[in-house]
Amino acid sequence: MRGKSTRSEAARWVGIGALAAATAWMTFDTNGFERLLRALAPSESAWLYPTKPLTTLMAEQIWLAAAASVLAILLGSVLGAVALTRFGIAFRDLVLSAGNLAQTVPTVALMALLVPLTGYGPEPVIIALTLYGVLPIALNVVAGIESVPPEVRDAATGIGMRRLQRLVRVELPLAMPVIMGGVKNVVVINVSAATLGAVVAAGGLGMPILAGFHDYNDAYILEGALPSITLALLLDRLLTTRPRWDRS
Amino acid sequence: MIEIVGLTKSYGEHRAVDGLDLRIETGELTVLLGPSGAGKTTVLRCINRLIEPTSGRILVDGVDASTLDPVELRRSMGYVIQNVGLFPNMTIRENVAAVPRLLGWDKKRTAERVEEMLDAVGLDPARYGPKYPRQLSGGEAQRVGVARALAADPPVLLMDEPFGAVDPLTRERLQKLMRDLQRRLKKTVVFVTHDIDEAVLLADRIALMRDGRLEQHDTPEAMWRRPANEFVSRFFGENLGLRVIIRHCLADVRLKPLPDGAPDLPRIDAGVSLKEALAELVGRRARALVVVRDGSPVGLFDFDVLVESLAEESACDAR
Repeated sequence: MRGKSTRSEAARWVGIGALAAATAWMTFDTNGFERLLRALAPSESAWLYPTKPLTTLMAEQIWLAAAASVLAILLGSVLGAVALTRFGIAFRDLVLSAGNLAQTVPTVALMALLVPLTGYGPEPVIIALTLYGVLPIALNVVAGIESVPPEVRDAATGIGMRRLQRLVRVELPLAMPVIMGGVKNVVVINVSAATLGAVVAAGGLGMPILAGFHDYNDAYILEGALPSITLALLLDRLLTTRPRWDRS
Repeated sequence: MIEIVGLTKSYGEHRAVDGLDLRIETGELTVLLGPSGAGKTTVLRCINRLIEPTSGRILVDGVDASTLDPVELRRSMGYVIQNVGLFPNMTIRENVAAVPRLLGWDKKRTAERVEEMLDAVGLDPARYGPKYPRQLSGGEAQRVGVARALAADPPVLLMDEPFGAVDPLTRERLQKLMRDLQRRLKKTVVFVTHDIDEAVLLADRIALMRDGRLEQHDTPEAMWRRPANEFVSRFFGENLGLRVIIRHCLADVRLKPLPDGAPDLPRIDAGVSLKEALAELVGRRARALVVVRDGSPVGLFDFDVLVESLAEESACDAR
């Protein structure tokens, strides 16, 4: 059993290494990546988006996704924690249905609606993606804490842990896989959804995609899409992990 | 000593515990026995204040438990439950160290104590210490549960059907482990079960409950000889006597003298219980057994010896 889990763990790290290498190569080896795009779209006359280099676009993309993810994790955790308190149970359903409703608004529409308030730039993107991420985080915090087996909670109280000790030493570690599942979803969605930021002039990998769409240039589209895909996959693999105690 | 005075716990109209009075002596193992819904677990959980009573008092060594900090109170009482409740995110070592850590013991003392406790429950510390609960069998996990409860050497041990969820063979082993540990450690133990054999094997005294009330509180022998009422005798059934003899050691009964010459009879060690001796008698279809102590025969055991030993209340019931 141990052999099997070490092997799948090794496979995971090989995947992570490959994805990281691919992402870094596309970002930094401009000439090499151009050759690849040339091969993939031989009929085009230009292959690299001329306005900004890929390193800048990538940095913008990561900034948008990271800022929105961190904010969503912070706010979602607070919201989840409040929903778990005795006082929170009363308004839990209200918050959750409000969050559900917010998720039905299309991302692009939400960004566009924010522009009059925030102006063009990264702000509407970060705000919109944060709003989308809060609910899944909060839901997973609640689900994770509630997934702690009642006998484990009973034992923790019964041997004399105070509430905070029980939370920190037992409940949070046990809830962590579920919470991290939510974090992973939010981060991965944010990395690809941040490409929509190009619409409101926030920069990022969406810019070559938008330009390629506008100019009928497939190479530009691929230049934005491929690094975005490998980055999302990389984060997905990185955040897919089982805690040591959960492995057989 | 734990003194329960007029304990009542109501849930709406229903009284889970109904005016219970019970004295649990220091150093004794008291079994709370009774059918499901008798209120046994409720009583246990009132003792460490996981449940607050509706009325009545619980005195621990003369101090009203409701005046103590519940967390401090719980740390002075080992707690073992049916589903073990080991912390899956901690190693076995960390699980056993949980209460010493809460009490702020230093690392060295905790580590030594953890080794000692794992040894005491029959688990090799080097092999089991670094494992996680998920990697243990039910019986092993329950041993760890007992080790964790005993780790800080609490004077009181509360056990709620601790061996209820394991297979019969493992359960028997755990019961014997518990009996041997208790003979050595002399804790004040409150042990909830609905298993009559388990109660008879482990109890110094049994508190038999029904519908939140105490029906009888006495040694198993006394309950067998003098059941307080119809419910008590019906609950234990016809063969309580057969169960009770597991408590008595062959070494303690007056044997018949050995006949001259070497009788051609099966031999049995003096260390076994009367129940095992009787089983041997029946199993071997023998008229009598030669009782052996340290390799040399000391007397003869037969059915007459058994019956006579049971007639003598005082000799037999002392434990």
